[in-house]
Amino acid sequence: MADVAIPAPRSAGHFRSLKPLLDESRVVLAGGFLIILALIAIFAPWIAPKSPLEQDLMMASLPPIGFEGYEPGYYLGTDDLGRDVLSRLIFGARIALTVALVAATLAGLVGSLLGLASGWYRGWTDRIVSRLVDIWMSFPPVLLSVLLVAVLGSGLSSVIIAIAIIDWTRFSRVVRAETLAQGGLDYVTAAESIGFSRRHILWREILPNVAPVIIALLSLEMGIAVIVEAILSFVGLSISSDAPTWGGMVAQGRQVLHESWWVLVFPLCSLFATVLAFNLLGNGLRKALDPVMRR
Amino acid sequence: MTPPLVAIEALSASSVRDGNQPVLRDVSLKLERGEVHGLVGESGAGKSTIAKALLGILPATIHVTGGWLRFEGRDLLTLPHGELRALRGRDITLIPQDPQTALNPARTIEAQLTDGLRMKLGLRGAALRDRALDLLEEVQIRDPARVLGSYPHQLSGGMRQRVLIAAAFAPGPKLVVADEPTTALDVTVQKEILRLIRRMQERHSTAVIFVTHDLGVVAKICDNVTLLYAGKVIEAGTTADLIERPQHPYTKALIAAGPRYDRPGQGLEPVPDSIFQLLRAQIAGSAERTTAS
Repeated sequence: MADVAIPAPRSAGHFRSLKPLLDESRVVLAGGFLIILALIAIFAPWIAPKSPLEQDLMMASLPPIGFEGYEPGYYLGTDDLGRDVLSRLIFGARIALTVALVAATLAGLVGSLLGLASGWYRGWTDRIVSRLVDIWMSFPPVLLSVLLVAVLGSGLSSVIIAIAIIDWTRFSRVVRAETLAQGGLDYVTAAESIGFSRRHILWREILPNVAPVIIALLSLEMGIAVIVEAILSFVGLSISSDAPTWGGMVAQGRQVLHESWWVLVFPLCSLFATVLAFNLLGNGLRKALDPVMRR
Repeated sequence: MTPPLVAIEALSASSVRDGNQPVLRDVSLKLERGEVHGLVGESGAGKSTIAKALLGILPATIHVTGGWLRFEGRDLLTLPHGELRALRGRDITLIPQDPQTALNPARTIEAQLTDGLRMKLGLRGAALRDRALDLLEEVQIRDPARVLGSYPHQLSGGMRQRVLIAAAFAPGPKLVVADEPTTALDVTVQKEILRLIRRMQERHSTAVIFVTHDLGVVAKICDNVTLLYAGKVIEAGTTADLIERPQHPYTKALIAAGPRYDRPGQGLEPVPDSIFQLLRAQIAGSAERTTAS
């Protein structure tokens, strides 16, 4: 970075004020929820009242607080093996958020790089990437993910890799379109006429303008990753079956729905709220970052 | 004798995308140091193609099929890449058409204004900032310190165009290519911007190629004019000659087609069809001659 003397940093520039973000109520609400969820996930061992794995058949199928037969300490009841639902939910947040964060970042990285390259260099790069996307998108995503996990073997990292492999196309398509649009604007011509290299223009001029789209997509993708992980756990292809995943809990709760509905309902609510929060955050970010960037 | 600043000789180009449709046919023109030269024509006349060729940013779909494009005697079309890159942005700069999109929305004015100074003149630190402030004052921007820290969306269209003019004149170029710099602006702002370009040009004795479709603008600012139609030079000469004693019927019709403030209520006179037929016949005729020879 040769331009140390310039007081206003260029890429940090559009975040110099958080005000447009905080004006958007969706960003504040959803972001706040997700931050709290992340804190819960990080400090799970200290927050969870019980162990998520410990079985106690004497305490099986206890109802949540406020219902008849409630046992103090088991706030959201227990499942048919006597495991504490609240503790499993809390540890489940760890897995859900890890998958969301890592898988979305990987998919975003791969997809954005390919999208930037094909939108900026066009020609053969674009032809190859675009055909690849076409082929990729003709596979049904759920089937492909089941297939991938079957091949890769179950486990957290396989789930993450499977999601990244499937979902990079979302980023690649949108980023390519945005890069094409930005590449046609006059500021790019101006940068070219100054004599900046193609690569310099891509990273320093175009990327900062495509970044808001990538950020919004990342948030949406995290919601999708949470769902895909839940689907895989639901069909028993994610992590080992007694690990506290929300999808696994839903699968387990489905079997005992008539005796103990809480085993199904609470993980379902957690899934719903988390995915909703990611989607709201994504849409809010897109709106909040846009006027600053594009007026 | 030193060669003219710009000498375009028999330049021809065609567009690969439209089935090798010619976009420039045998275009020749000369530009001396400190001269303001208008390139006039309707859309598709090839005026922007010439401007882009001078800046070395022709799209890949346009191929130069013949001729020379000399800048101080050196042919820009065959110049090694490194020399061309050194030339672009220092000796030849651009005032772009649309101030809305010509500034990167994600970077401050200071970062963008100093690009050329940093890259081409090697200025750094306080010297760089001082030069940027001077430039903004020169284009009559009030409170230049505040503007330097602003983002493009915080400035008006006229302000942005002033910044772009400052950026174009920043590295002390010999030639500024102004690509319809006033089309995207309000009429009142247009006048100020034209005056500003003229003043900057005179102060720095820079040559300017002024691309426009507006003969009125040409009359205000240009010393000499080249009128193009479908990639061919129709008429060229000093502005006074061309406007007051047009030779070609197309030029006459164009001048007649402009709004006349001295005769209000008369409406606009469209260019008659017969003239376009004449133009087409002339272009076809000269194309045959070229292939025959």
